Amino acid sequence: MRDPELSIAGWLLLRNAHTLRERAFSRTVEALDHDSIKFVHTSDQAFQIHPVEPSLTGLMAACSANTWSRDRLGNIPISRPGRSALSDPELVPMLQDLADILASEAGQAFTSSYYPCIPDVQMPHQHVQIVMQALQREMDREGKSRQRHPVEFLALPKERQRALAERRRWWFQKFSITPECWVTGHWSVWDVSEEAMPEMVVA
Amino acid sequence: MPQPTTIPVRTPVETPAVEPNPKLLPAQICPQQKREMASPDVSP
Repeated sequence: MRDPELSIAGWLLLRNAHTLRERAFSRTVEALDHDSIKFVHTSDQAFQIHPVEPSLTGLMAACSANTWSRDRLGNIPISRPGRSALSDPELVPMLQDLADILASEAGQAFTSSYYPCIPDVQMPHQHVQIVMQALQREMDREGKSRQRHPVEFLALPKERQRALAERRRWWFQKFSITPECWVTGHWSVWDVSEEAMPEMVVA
Repeated sequence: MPQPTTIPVRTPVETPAVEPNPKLLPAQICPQQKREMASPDVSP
């Protein structure tokens, strides 16, 4: 079934997307016209493009060749405000793959027999705690609405808490969002990793 | 008279208790809630 946040054009493109970058690009497409394209985050603007190849990569190359569309795809908001006064900010729907991956990672912290830290990622203990509290905040809310007890992140062994926080940073980075660029509030399709969607996430 | 044979009684094996209402896991929440759980207001 189509994600209601995904345009029909984006849905069709997503079927042919193999890498995280191609998938992220597909989710940005609001509409395809005769020789132009619109993006979800700038839907009032149409960009004229001239694809050479009738493929997703051909479409991306055409968007990259147009200075304006290349720039728009290089500056996409990371988050949007919550839908109600009680909600917290959420990732934009174009980062749904990142959200799915992080949810899967968070679940594996409880279920995997082996859940190591990331050697290249290091962060202070205080930040690990902030991340755990943020994750718990949303799980508590969802548990309340479903009348089910949610898992408790702060009950995880300290090493698993750290591993989860480090993996969260690692995955954000795969989507071009580092702690340094996070403060700008924007990410770039062009800097998203070209690796495949991880198998742990059920499509 | 033949002695009655004693049939050993098999001790019932204890089965693991099934938790009636397992805890809600992050992968079980809806896509929109997953976007919230990513907590974009907290730095990676």
